[in-house]
Amino acid sequence: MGQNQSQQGDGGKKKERKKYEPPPAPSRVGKKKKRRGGEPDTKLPTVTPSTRCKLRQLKLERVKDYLLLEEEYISNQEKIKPSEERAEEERAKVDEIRGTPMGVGTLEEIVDDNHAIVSSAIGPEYYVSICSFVDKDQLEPGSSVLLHNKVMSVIGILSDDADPMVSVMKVDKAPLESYADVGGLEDQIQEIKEAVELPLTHPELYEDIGIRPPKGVILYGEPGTGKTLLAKAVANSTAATFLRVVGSELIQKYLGDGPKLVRELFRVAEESAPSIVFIDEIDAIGTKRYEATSGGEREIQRTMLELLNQLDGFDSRGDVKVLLATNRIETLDPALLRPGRIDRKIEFPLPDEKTKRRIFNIHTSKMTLDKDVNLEEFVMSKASISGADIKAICSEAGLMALRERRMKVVHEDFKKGFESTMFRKTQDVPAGLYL
Amino acid sequence: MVEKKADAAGAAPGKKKESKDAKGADSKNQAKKGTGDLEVEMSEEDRLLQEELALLASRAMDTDAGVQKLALERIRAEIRSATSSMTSVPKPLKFMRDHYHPLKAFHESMMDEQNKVFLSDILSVLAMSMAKEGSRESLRFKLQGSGDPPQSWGHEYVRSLCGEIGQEYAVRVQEIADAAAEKQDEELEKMDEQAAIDAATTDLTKLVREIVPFLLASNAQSEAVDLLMEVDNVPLLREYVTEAHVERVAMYLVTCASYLPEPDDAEAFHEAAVLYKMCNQPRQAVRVALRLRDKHMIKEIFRSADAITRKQLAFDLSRHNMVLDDDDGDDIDDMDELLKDIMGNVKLSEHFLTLAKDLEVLEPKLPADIYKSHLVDNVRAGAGGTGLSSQSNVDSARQNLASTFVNAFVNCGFGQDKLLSDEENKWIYRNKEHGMMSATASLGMIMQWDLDGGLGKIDKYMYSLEDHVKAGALLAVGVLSAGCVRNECDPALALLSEHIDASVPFMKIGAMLGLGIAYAGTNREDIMELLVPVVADGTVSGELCAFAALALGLVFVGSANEDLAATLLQVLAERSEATDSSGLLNDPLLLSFLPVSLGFVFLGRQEACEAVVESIQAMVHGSVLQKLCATALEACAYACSGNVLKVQKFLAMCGERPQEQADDVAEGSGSVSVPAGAELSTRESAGGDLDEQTIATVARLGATSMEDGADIDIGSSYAATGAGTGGGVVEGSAESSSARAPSRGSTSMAAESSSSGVDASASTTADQGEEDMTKYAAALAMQESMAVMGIAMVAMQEETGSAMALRMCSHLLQYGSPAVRRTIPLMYGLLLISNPQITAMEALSKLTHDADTDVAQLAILALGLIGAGTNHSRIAGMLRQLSSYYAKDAGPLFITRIAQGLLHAAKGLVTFNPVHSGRFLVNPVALAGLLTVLCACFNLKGTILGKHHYILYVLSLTMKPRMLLCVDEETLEPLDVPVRVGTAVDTVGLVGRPKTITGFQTHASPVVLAAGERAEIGTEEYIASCSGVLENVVLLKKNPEYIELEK
Repeated sequence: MGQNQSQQGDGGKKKERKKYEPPPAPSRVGKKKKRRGGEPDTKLPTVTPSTRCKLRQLKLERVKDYLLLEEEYISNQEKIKPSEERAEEERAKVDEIRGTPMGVGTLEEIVDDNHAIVSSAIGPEYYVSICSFVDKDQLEPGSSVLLHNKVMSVIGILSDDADPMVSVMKVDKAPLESYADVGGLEDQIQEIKEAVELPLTHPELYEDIGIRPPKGVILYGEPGTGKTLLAKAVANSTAATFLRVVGSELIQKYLGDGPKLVRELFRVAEESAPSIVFIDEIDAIGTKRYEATSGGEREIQRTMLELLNQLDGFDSRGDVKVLLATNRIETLDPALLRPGRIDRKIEFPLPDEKTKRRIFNIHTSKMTLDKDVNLEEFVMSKASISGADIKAICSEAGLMALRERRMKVVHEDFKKGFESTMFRKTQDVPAGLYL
Repeated sequence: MVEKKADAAGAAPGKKKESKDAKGADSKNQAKKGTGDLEVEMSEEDRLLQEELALLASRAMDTDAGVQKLALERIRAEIRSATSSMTSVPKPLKFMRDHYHPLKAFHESMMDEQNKVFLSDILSVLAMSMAKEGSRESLRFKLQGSGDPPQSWGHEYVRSLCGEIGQEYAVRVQEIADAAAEKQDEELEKMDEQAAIDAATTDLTKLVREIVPFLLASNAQSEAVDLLMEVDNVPLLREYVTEAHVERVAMYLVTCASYLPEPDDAEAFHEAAVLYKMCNQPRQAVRVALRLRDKHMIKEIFRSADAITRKQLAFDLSRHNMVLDDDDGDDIDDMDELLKDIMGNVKLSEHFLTLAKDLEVLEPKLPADIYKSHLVDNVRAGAGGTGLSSQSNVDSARQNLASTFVNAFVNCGFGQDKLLSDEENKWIYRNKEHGMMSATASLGMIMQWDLDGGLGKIDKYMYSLEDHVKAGALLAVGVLSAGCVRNECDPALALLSEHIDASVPFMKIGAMLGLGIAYAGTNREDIMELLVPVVADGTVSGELCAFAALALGLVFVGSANEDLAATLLQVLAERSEATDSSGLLNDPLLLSFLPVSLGFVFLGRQEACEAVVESIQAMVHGSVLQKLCATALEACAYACSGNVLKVQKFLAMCGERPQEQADDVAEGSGSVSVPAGAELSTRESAGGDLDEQTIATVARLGATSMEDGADIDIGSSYAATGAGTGGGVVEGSAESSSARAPSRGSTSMAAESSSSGVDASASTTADQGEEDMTKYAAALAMQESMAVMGIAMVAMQEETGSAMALRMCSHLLQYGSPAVRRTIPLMYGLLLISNPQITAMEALSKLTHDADTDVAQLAILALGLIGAGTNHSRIAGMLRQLSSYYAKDAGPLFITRIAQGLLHAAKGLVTFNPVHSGRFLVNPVALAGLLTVLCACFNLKGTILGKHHYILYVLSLTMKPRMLLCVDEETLEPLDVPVRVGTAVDTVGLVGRPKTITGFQTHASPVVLAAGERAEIGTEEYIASCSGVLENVVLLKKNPEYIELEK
């Protein structure tokens, strides 16, 4: 009975309503799922064989023809009805509504389609309206919003997509060191070129052969053998975006910040692809996993796990190559080094005689040497010296010469420099104790 | 591209080196030291090599021939033995750079012939990286050099040579053409020119002949084809291609051909077909021949094939609705009944049921199973019993009709259902009038492909007292044999022909449409004889004429039949002149179907339509109608051609803004100055009671002078009354109707209008001019819609084009007129038919809530189309939501139901895509069927939402089982073979043995293939009897080399 009545009531109401009005399509609040590679309909179709051949050319020409048509159509339509003017007018109107100055606040909560609670930087929270022209798709709790100067209504969103930490990592000014400044290491240069540079510039070569280019490379070897130098040379010569990080930078104060930074890093790398990510001193975060007791260690391990995922995880990274450098490869986690993540391990050995000679030449080429200087003596010496040692010897010799106010560096200076460098090297490590 | 390749191949290493040098120089500058720096960096052996080469180079320029020879030989050995790496230039080449120019200079003055040849070779190699771009020095020296095979200098060299040969050839041909142009003697020159080209390029041809076998052998088939295409000598492939690499060569050639301009593509296809035929791949050859529409070639291949291959070929032909008949005296002698049956799709029903049985979907479904109302959020749809009843009271006939269609689509081809068969024809009588017709006709769709069983069931309705039922039964007979089911007795013709002369119009329509569907694509003259009288009869009503023309169009689809074209053209001309209710302008149905029918006759025939387009200009009256007919014809003729120029033309049509042009005219000339002798009246289109949107209705009358009767150009014949100028101001003095004197066919008038507004204004003012304006507006809208469809039709076959055409949709939506906007959903529907892509789904989902009801309805229908026959759950969810959203709107609800029916068509076992065989072939009959329904959608109110909803049954032509059925080659019994199904990968032009599918799953033999999927036989035990695309029915045989592994 009750049911009937209520239904009758419904019927009465229905009669009152003259015309059925469909409710407005539900508006969405909050961020949409992240779309990779921009809007779907702006993406161009992929053109398949990537080898250079006529078919590819024909297909690309077809794409170009269509793009020209689009351009023609749009420009014709614009001539008839210029949208720019309209857009400008509308923008002016919106600006008028927004007014100046604007405040910045944080969106605390969205109450309904048109209202939200915001907090300003000073402290108090307000229940305010959201202007209709604000893109509600991008509003989400926690985002910073622009607030009207008087009524505090939400009039815009401040998008802060990229972590400022990551943008710092981008190498804007290419380092001065080029491949010419690397003494020897010819094999290493070739390997790194094949693995990192060539896949970015000529991907079709790899497809021709039918292999996937390596994803990442680790450079390892004794300290001072030129790992970082080579990375600099890569950065110098490549046109790709070069992001450089030191492993320790990825260790953050707060829980979850480290992995987040890694994610951001790779996201930025992918956005600005083709790109090369260089992580120096990877052993800072990449050590073998073990039962960690402190939260800090666990956090570091989590950072590494995120790195593992980014290197070869579920989502494929397209044109992002990873360069790692360490001098303690044996301490690294085996998962980090497995093929598929790091396909090439490039060893940097201590220089042999020929290389040593060349390194000496590179460093002494800028020095004024006395005629009696015989570098062969040092080149031939049995002591294991690295490239960095040679540089140290040279600068030490230079300093010696300076001390004695000579304009030329004599052989004696080099001798002293050599001895002091070798002495210093063996000093803090009690050599031979464990041998 | 080849050019670029050569440049890149030649120049890239050089460039790299240069940049390296530059860097070296930088560091030099920093070092502020002499040139010795670079030397220092070089290793010991490098320096030695450099010195040696320098010495050799100077020796080579020695005066003594013997010394020269020795030195040159050493250089050659050095270069050849050098190993090149990806990252660096071979050392000897690098060091020889400095000596290139001296050697070149020396080469000019060299006396000793033998050594000169030697040096030429070396210079040719050096020129690869040293010569200026475009100078083609490498080739020049090569031609002067010895006849050494070029590959002895390495692959890179061959590549660069290929590039230069292409350039050289183009230059030489151009020179000859220029010379010929000077002489200005066309006919003679043609022959001479070819001969001259041959003569001028003999040396190149010789080189090409050396290079091509090398490229083919070294896995660079695509390069070989590229080279031959550059020198216009593709037939040369025949000499070198063997069975080992025919697949790759021909596949590459065929794929390229799809993108070549018009005459070249046919040549390439032909060449591919010849290669396939030569290398004993009859199935592939037939596939290409089908693309070429070369029936003679097909017959030739058929004749030379063995019995088993013939069976397979017959299955392939049946999928394409092609029958090898002996109409042109070119018959195949020993064609047995079995083959004819296969080709006639007689076994299709059986195979389809095998598939259904295997997938356990034989159980008939009720429309309620499809609607799944229990999942629908019923709050808005009126909860509880009363809500439902009141709702069903709104339009129960519509609902029943919807259920009829859903039932027909869902149980299509299964031969049983729960609605019609079970309760002895009660369901039919629960419909009214035309509803009854559709309900009866649905029997045809349910029984589709099963001719014998179906006729038995339909038979009893043939003698029904109710005319509508009878008409439906007639249509059902046609639908039953849709998709070219052949039978010796020709039951459809026997049953239907007598009803052509029926007195009741809808029975006539049923019979005609039935004939059209049953004999679609058969080009049967007897059907033409039956139907032409109806079409040509100027006294019959517009709808009869429309359906007769449509039926003829379907029967003669793609035939380019001249007689029929002439007849239809004549009808078009007459009807365009007629001003009574059967005139082209006055009958929307006629307007929808007559031009398209003419188009169907030329479907896919490309330039064959040109003559008819010309005659349209001469014969059809009224510039709008002319344009409409020409657009429809061209859109059909160039369907699936990928012709970008046509797309451009259509796009320009969509972009025309008559009222703006008119604005200019009006402003420029004022409202007084008029084209010669024409009387003009400009008039506010609507009273002040109409809102701004409807005032956008714009019209202007331009009456031509009596003397010349010429039409005024559309653009100038418009005048605009700006929307913002306010209502009620009449600028012109004359009333439009008086300006447009009766009986003058040359009146030209056009209007663009927003749909509903005009209807409203037409009814309120009820004035003759207003009405005419609406009609012209309709014609113009139709023309714009046709143009939009044209874009989709042209682009629909190849992937790149269709993806790019999809991109256009958003622009057209943004800028287009209402008519253009309305067609966009259909464009999605055509481009992505049975291919539900999520992005398109989202775009359409947005449009389903559009303010323009037509856009919304068509978007709903398009959702059904893109998911047609896929059971896509996401679309199903969307449609359910829409059904509750539009619960109170009869029109959209009906469309939603139809879309649901389409989505679940044949319980997800069919595809509506006319493009088949790995996106290579287009079934013209299926395409015509699909286009008929899409064209009907231009005028939803008059067709699907009106009395002619049975037009939906034309879709039966389009429905094909999307299956792969493996059968034994001898017995044709289904085999239970594991089959891998996965996403197809484009393997054209890839090296090695790339996998053709990814993400596959293994099923047992009868499997369903979705759009973009490909199948592979999953076992070594069986192999395909003839290699080719694994679709539809495939014959398998035991692998003779198969060894069963021990368990």
